[in-house]
Amino acid sequence: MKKKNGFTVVELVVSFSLVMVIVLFLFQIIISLREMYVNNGVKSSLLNKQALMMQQIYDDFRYHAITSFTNCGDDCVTFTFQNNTTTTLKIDRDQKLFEYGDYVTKLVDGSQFGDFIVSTETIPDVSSSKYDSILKIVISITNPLVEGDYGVTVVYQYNSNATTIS
Amino acid sequence: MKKNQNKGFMLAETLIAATFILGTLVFLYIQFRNVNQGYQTLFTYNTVDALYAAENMKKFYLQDNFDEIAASFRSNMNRYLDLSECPASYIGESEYCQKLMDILGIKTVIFADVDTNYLVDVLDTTDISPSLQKFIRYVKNDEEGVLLKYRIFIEMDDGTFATAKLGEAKPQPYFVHNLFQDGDFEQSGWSPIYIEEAGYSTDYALHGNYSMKVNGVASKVEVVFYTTHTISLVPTHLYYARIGVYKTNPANTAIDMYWPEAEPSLLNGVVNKTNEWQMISMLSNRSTFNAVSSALRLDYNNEYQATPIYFDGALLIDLTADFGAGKEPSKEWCDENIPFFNGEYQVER
Repeated sequence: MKKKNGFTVVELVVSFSLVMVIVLFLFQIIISLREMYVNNGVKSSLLNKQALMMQQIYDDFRYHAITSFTNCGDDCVTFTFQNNTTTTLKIDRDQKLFEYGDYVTKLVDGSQFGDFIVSTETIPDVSSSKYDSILKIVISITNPLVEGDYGVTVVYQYNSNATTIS
Repeated sequence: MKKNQNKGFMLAETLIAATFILGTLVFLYIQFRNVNQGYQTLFTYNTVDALYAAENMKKFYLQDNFDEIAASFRSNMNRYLDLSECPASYIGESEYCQKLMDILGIKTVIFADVDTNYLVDVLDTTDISPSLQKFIRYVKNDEEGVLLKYRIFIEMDDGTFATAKLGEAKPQPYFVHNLFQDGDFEQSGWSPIYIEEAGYSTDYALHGNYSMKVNGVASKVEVVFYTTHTISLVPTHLYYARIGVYKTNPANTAIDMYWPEAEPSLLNGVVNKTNEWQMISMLSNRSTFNAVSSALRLDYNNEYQATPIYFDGALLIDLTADFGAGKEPSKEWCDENIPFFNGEYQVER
């Protein structure tokens, strides 16, 4: 009688099926890890840049009261402070530069500017000694590799009786 | 007899192989999930936008009605206040608060103790959303740096979270030291130039059984006595000096403390109360002197009057050494919060 030494068909099918399942699973993990690495790397860079840009403005606004702001061209605003100093906030869409006073930074590769909005709002009937107005600066920054807006949103509260922002 | 020629997998082999493979897959999945969760936490908790939003809310609460919020919180049995709706019962400018929250994109604000454990203990019984509960559990207490009493947790419309500490400073323990070896004049630590001019007396005592009785001399404008020990001074430090004085003569008189024995004095004051103990205190720095170890001189400016005066409860505290540079308390605070003591005493500030 002929001696049977090899795998049976069933054994081969089962083995291949198992290997295929494992390979598929590993592929999924590798693809997800790759996406995670790319997305999170970009996200980290965007968040770091966002933190630096916002810190520049918030630090200035914390120690100097604003008295007025004026348009200085497209995507450009100049703030005047109570101590009569001025600081200009502007963006260069072509060069992808963000500028606030002496601070200049280039956006993360692939990012682009969106809206540039500076607005104020005064809430009526607020006690004269308290904050009643809000200055909001929004500079939208997006990157096609990740979802969401990683731009600058600065909110400055002030009392319109003590500070007239025009 | 027919021999079994089947050399394929046995059931045991298949089970072992399958278990091993399954174990490997589960291990990989768990590792992957942990890495992914770590990233999600990084991008969801304490984000830049959420942190600045929390700072803006903190700024608003502190100038709006913070005392009322803090008082309400302290009397609240739930260990937290939900300020998401800007309730008029806590918030002075409710409409402004709501507008600010809308502009900042804040959905929920929870006001709680800076120590998150007080809230975490009862978190399951609260109406706080599960995602915010998870964030509150995630926030670590940094005991060593905790100087403020309260904190806010915020949940943003985009599902991110942040926390910010705020409020009046939580009292911190400080150990203060009386640089006088015997500030209650219990028969040691002080010495007059002439023994007949000053001595320990039981006539009147503010602390312990004795005080220092100083006899005015008709031929002298002042009578002085010294500590028997020297005290090291640091010119850049701020000192708090205080002493109790008792006189029976209605006429006003003055006292001085010199340390070292040169102008300007460390302490001076007019004694205008009669038949009661009067406390005279002062904050002084010794910036015009060099670092020196010197005895301290106490003067009774009797102005040629032969009337006695009594000293007791002498304190000399190096505020800079005990509280830290820039954190020295005011004279009024010291008067109110530091009782007489010898050696070391713990205060909260």
